[in-house]
Amino acid sequence: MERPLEIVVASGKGGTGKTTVSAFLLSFFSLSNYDAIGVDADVEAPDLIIALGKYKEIGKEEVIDSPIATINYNRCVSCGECLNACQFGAIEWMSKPVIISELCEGCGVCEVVCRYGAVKYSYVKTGDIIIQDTKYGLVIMGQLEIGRKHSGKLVEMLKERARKYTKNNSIIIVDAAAGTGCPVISSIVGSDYLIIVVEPTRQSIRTASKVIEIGRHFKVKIGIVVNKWDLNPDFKAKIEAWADEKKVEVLGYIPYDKSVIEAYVNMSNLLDFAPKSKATEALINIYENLVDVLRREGYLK
Amino acid sequence: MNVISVGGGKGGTGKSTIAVNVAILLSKAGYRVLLVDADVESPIDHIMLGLERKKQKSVTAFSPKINAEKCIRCGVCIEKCPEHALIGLTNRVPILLKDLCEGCKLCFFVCPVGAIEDEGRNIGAIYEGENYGIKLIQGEVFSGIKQHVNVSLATIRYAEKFFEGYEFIVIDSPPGTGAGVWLPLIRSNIAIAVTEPTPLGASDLKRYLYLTNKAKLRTITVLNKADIPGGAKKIIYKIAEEFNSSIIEVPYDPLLMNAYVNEKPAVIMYPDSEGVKALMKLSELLINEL
Repeated sequence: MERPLEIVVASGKGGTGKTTVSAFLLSFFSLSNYDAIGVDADVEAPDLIIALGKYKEIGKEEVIDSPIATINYNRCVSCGECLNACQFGAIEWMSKPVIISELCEGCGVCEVVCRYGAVKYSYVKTGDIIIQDTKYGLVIMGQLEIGRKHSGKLVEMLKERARKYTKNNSIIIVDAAAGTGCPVISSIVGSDYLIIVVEPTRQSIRTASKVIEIGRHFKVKIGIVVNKWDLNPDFKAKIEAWADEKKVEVLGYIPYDKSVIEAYVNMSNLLDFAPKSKATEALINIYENLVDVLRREGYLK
Repeated sequence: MNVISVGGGKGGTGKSTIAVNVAILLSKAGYRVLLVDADVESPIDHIMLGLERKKQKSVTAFSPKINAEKCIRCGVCIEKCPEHALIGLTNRVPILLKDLCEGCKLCFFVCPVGAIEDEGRNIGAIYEGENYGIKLIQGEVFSGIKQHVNVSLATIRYAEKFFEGYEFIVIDSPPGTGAGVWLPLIRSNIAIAVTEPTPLGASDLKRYLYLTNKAKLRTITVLNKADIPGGAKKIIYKIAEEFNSSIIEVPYDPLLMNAYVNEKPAVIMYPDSEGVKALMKLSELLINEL
């Protein structure tokens, strides 16, 4: 392989089972003699290593790359130009303009519009990149400073780091954040295959449709995994019709299975904890379908 | 006027279920209630309320259009664009890569000859609806648009105009701890942190409580699905204590899931269920506190 195969797991709505599916794929690819590398791109709520069982931190790197505006009130004349120019609502009027650092994108507009040279930029910590060693390969995880923006930037850096560790048989699994925003787009850009994990509800299908649109836009092949499908079995036909209409493949159905939570509780991987459970069986089936698809598309030999 | 932020970090813990049902319970208690769905990336409260939402407003962001006659090909906009969304070839008008543009408007301000105009870009919409006695205001960002924060901001600012007319404003926040969570928090006077008793729920709760603490907000932690064998109940109590947050438990109740699947609020469909009883305690607590 010239470059590693990159698979992203996303969902739209949160809590559908992205991390469970990502962890399982990592373990199964690893057992099938691939060099599996995980990227936890849910930098506001990173949980992938918890789902993989035991882990050990082998490297940590601080990323200081978030520009934040500050106002020098000795120079500020409270003209309000900066407040009017900021497109992100990051400056509020509290008897004088005040920067809300949690909302500041660091774009530089306030500095440019200030005629009194009262705005300066400084770089603050974006977050950490942590390399974890697990039984089933390396996981590159990001931890965004709480309340910091630039999650997309951190995700791009995570993917870059992961590519540095790749060998000739590497497969990168990116566990994306919930939603359809910047970090999810950064996760999807440049990847080969997108798995969308849905639940059997209209709420989930609706948000997943938006992720499909993003995948389409970046010309990524898409497959659907239906988690906890038997909680609403009547919905199965609707999901199939929806997948047909969107022209995406259904990779498989996972039943609701308490073993999934029990594995977390025991700080274990689902595959180790409950190798014969209904969920494991379904996930193996999904893995096999995925490998078939990847072969058919020419990504795997 | 009381503004309640409903968040919690992890996705799928029940934020929307809690927000929608508590809003209805407060309304049943005789208060005027406004529900704001600020999870602009995955808004679903209209489905949970079983209503047809009506579009009220488009959300637009700045989008540069370069006037070729005025442009002197100086390259300043290309050099300054923080997203590298403008590219230029020698002696050519810069080209905009729309996918990268965040609409910060810096190019507009740095252009020395005023060659950059605002073409405007539709990035989302704001909707309204009404059912079960509560009004819903909901924002949604269009697929593939990076500027979800602009849509969150526009939604909250739009909703703020209505705040005065209500006794309770419940804001359903997105998962995570980003700007979309912070925007509602700084406008709230109480926060509800919805979590579940799993190690994942615990680790995300901690990040969320850090944020509510920073905003100096009193926070009630709602331990949803409290009796599932998640193994992290003790840890969650410890985290809540560490951040001075009280805890209310909502038991795992298949009827809540059933209501969710049927797109009807549990307080309407199963008013006597165990889950709803716990939610009533929460709404009573909110009424007493505020």
